[in-house]
Amino acid sequence: MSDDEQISSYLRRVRSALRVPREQRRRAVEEIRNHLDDGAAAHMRSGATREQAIGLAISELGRPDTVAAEFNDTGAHGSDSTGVPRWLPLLPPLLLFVARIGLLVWSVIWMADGWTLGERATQQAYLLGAVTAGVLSYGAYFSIKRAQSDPAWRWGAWTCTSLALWMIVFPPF
Amino acid sequence: MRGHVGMLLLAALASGPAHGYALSAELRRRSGGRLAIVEGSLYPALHRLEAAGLVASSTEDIDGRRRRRYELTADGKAALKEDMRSWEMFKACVDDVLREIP
Repeated sequence: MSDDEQISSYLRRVRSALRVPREQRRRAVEEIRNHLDDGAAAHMRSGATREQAIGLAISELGRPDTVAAEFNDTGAHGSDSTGVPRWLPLLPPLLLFVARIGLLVWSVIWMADGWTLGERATQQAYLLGAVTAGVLSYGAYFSIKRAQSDPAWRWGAWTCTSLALWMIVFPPF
Repeated sequence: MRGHVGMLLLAALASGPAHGYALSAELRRRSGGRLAIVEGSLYPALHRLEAAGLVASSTEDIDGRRRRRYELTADGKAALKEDMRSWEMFKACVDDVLREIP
């Protein structure tokens, strides 16, 4: 592995373990890169070869996952690593849930004095829609919470969002 | 040591603005090499201090590289004074306890 590849590989491993917003990640990697360059230069001034100097600078910084974990612990992040607000995926299913509950309440109020067969079917559809939207909202909420420790759960949240959007555009019931 | 990284960084910055590497070198120099901050925790600590408003950072281009320079804010100077006062008190308490060891 060449000297530059050694640094690039280290930075790649730090970057992949970082769970911070995009701007913070860019800044962290830039600072670490500069730190490695400064450290290697200082060791070379002390007589180390470039390869040795880079190795020493890297070992002084610590393991990539440990360095990334320190950055990840710097506080609660309002956005995921792509910079998208963390709670955004919850919005569509929640809006759908509120709308479906609204329709259900409206149907109970306005159809209270006797339902026709069609009205009963409509109300059942509203109920089914509200339950489905509720499940999707909870799924998005649960996934967002789990994504704090395991970012792979973001896909779960976005899947719930996609299903909610699909229900809004093409209401199945 | 980990709990004091913030205070040590504020103390190092009290001499004037500096880049991250210069700060760790300054801490090593002042402690005669005995105090080696784990360098991987240096920048997260600086970010925490910045988020708390105790340091401010700015970027500058040096030899084609974008470098970030940190400096103490007024709140940072006040926090450093408070940290130093707490440290002196803690040190005096420990000294008092140790003094009575037979």
